[in-house]
Amino acid sequence: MLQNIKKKARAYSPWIFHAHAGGCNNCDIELAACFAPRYDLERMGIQLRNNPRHADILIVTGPVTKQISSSLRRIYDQVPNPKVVVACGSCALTGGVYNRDDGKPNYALAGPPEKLIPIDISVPGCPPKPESIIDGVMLALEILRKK
Amino acid sequence: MKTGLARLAKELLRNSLRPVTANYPAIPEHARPHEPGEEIRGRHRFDVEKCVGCGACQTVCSSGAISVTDSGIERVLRIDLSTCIFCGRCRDICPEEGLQLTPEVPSAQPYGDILKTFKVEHSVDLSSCVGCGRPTYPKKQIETVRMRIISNLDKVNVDSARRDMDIYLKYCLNCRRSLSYIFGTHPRKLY
Amino acid sequence: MNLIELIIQATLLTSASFIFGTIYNYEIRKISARLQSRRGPWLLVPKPLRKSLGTTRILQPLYDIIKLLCKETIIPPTARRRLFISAPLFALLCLVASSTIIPIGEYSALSSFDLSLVALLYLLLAVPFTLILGGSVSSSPWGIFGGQREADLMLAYETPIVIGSFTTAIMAGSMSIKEIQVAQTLSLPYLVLNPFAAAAVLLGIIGKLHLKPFDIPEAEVEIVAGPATEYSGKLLGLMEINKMLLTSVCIGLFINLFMAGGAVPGVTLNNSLTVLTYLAEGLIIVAVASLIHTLNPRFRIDQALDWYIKTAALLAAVGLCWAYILRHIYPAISG
Repeated sequence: MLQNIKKKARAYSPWIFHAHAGGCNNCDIELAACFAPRYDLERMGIQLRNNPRHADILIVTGPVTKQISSSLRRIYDQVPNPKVVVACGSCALTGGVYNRDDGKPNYALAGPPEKLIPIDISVPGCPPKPESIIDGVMLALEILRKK
Repeated sequence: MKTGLARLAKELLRNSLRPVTANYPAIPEHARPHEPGEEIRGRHRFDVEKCVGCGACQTVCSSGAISVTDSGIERVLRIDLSTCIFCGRCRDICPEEGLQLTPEVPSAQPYGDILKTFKVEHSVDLSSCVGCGRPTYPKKQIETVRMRIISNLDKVNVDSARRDMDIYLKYCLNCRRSLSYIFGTHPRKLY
Repeated sequence: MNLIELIIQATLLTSASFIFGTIYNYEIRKISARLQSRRGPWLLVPKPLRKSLGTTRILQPLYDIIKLLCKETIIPPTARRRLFISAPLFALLCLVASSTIIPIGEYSALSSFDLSLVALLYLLLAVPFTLILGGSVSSSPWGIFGGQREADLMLAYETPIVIGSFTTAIMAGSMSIKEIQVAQTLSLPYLVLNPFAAAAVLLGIIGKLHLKPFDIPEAEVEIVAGPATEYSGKLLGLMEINKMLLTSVCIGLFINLFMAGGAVPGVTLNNSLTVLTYLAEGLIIVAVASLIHTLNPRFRIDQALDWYIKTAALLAAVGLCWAYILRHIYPAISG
């Protein structure tokens, strides 16, 4: 009974922190559009906070540049358990448009975020439509319910 | 200032009574484009009749998402949707209009399933060289090239072109080079 | 009433204050969202989503609190641990004590002893101090900035609240909240008789609850979260509980001092329906406050101090003089 209340509360009020790890900013704009009047994530009780210590869901956008790779690991460690990591956009999945044609690594990237932090959910697209981001967040709620 | 306040009050009342929020997760049909005529670039679809497997899409792909791999007598074109940036260059350069971008946008998945659903595949058969037996070009590509040349060439040269193509389109590049004296297509034989 | 009844009523009053505070905070979020032409947290969840997202989200702040209480707490290793943990606990203690002093309708646990108004104002004064303390001992510059801003703002908003509250005490002739409440049923509510003091207290309450022109200590873009930057998990849950209780106590203070505690011309104080009228009046006041919250940007700290001294404290002083003038014009008010 108490476990039920705990799981319900975790799924009913997730707070999001958005970690911007380089890139062209398009995914960030689409994520901000999710909190705009047209697609309103506040309906589900979701707040966009600016402090990783207050967050449950960490949304990573952008291919991880070398300058931010150490900060990304620290941000991940500052999010209290239970947490879910969502990789948003094709740069966060495989490096996206910043891959070289001949397969060699890019001089400025420290790899996709998968090499630094474990990822739970992927949202493809360049940039992903806000509907895809909302679907990703609903999947994250299901994972939070189980944790 | 009074008219400004009155306008503000009217606008606030209108905003609170008519929110513009789309009822998205409840009604999936609300995930449609904003204006009716807009084209959304989503998941790719290979036209099974038209695609000849030439691989032109791979040469212009902006992020290297398309890979063309030959194995045996089959050529597989694979588009990795997690690297694709949905720019549409592959659709624009396809000479046969065999690659279309549908409005279906790929949606979120758990990370472990990423390889299973995030790709689009299409395979074509390769024809083998009559001389050495190695796989050469896709059968459909050869057929399409033959038909195009025959239908566009002027009447004087059509017959000789047809005869030449019947002979050497069955061979791979290396065999064509080594057998060019026999076929009569070597440039030095002409003078 | 004997001790057992007192304890039961005090517990019920605290829980009712907490639930009312939850509803008030939900209303702030809902009204700000509606004025921005979006929907806020759902009052009634659409049918296809009811299984996964519940039927109604009217207790959304309560879900936030339960979620926070079940999360891992990360305490920075360079912070002073005991002060860090005890700051929100002390605020909780003060707020639970003050919520037993505010009467809701006819139920009043401790509000009928002499000088209960003084005790209440004293307890409410301790809450910003715990914010300043909590911000300063978390070893982070954002916490120190937030604490400093809270200290500056506290000087500003406490003045109108205290002067306005004591004005009603002068008009009613007693310092006990229950007496003030009862005195209003004999004459007009003090909102009508002395609107200056009412306006001063309302403006002070908007600052106390950190609503928008004055949410300077918790400024989001400037300092990361102010005093609450290093708090996470259970301690943050405690801070949110404090926020709910503070909302309820402040709004309850305003209703009891200026609007006769829920007694309207049809419903006298001995009726149990005063709880509902209390809630309704609270919702109206919160609607006014959230209108101001949505339509304003954030002030700078010097602008906030300036504004409070020029407008709110002046209004409070005018209200005080008006109370004395009324004593001569309308002698039915005791004095």
